[in-house]
Amino acid sequence: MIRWRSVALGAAAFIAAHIVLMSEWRAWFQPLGDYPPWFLNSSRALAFTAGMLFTASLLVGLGNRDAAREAMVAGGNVAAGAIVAMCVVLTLTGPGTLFPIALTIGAGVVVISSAVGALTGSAIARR
Amino acid sequence: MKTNRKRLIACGVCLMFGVVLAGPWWTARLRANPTAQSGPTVRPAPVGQRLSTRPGEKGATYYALEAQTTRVTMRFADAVAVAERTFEGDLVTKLHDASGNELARFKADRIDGVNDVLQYTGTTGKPLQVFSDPNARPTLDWANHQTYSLWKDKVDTDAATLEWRDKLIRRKGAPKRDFQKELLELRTEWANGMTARSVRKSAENQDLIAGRKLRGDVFVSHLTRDGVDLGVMNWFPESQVLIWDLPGLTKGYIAPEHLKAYGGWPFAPDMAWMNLQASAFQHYKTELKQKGFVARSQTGWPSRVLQFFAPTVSADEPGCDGLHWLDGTIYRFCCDIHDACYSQNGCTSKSWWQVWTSWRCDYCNAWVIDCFLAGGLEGSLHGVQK
Repeated sequence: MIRWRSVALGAAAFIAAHIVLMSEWRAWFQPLGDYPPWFLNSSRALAFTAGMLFTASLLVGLGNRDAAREAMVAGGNVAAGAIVAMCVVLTLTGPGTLFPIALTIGAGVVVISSAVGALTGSAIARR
Repeated sequence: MKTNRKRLIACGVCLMFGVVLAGPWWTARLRANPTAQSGPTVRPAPVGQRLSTRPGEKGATYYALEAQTTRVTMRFADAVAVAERTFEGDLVTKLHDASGNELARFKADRIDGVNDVLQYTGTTGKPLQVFSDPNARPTLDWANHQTYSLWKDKVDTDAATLEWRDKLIRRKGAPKRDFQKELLELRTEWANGMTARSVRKSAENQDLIAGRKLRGDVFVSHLTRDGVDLGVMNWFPESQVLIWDLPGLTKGYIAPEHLKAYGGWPFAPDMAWMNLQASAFQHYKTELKQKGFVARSQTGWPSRVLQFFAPTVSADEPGCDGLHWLDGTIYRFCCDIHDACYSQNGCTSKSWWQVWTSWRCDYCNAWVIDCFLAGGLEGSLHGVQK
């Protein structure tokens, strides 16, 4: 059930997205704000991170010609890797006063974007 | 002879005691340390409790904000009242009809807040001069209301026919009237070019908040600066709902259920309050945005590298920590109340897992979860009536 490559891909995608957020935070994601770089602190950052995870899951889905269920498992593994990375990043940056809610909402975003990406990739691969 | 000598010695001893006891150095010490008499007792203020004004009264912050306004114009169906603040702090109102003919004049001469003198000159041209009531806080909108009320009551110079009623001077026996309902428009102006204009309308869109019908009249307040629109506020008296949208600064609503912990709205919002609240939102949110948070110190390159990968996060940021993309939504209210709860009870993020440390912090956390769930179920703000 555990696809370590997908898990690693999910974690790598989230960390890559976070590094881009950190380097371009003031330029692209939150020019006016004083909040720290974090994908749930700006709607643009949220869209960017979701896009990265969607792309990662899409790649996993494209390599999976089996049934939709297999694609969902693969997408779930991508999401699991990304969620672990998300928890690590939030721990390192310092949990805010609402961190359990932030993690819950963040996990929801990660799971939805990964699932949609994997299903889309699988559908394209089966054509 | 012997007796006389004894008397002389006794007198000398008494004189010495008298000089020593009544000496200026001794009385000065006594004056510096009075013992018997004491002043009024000092009342202790309870710590950790929410202290508020009397129900129905607006607080000192309201009057501090009001003191910054320079002119208030009120339009009634049959008259227009314009109140201005003079350099000395006096309030002067002129009442006109629709054609611009002067109907009455009013002046609140600020003496010391207790013995303020009110002067009114009506259609007869003869002035009426009375002392103010300490309970009536002199504001620009109050001065307009007072002038319009005296004019409607056809008051002349005879002070004996007058009485204080609901913080307004009324003619004895005059019928009760709701001046808020007679008010069609209220415009507040500030020295920096900012203007807020409130009007009463009937609600055009009842579905501004999902799952809730907003019926009846609505007060709509537009905030502008030098003609540029800054934002809109709505107050629905029947539903007791306040909605605001100041683009780029803040957007949200407050309904009665949000104020349960405070016993509901502590006063009835009116047009004057709406305009001041809109300006307060604009002022405080802009300041927050411009000044940001604590200044960060310059550090060496190892710390800067560490900061790049793991930047320090402020312990408690204004708004939704870790979820700032929700700051402009209904959830902002949940986050602000949660922040206030944390601040009041000394909670930190550790209280989420160290549940045994403080029941109060556990309550803060449980409340914010409930607030987020309720917000998700009820839906969020759809818009604001322009």
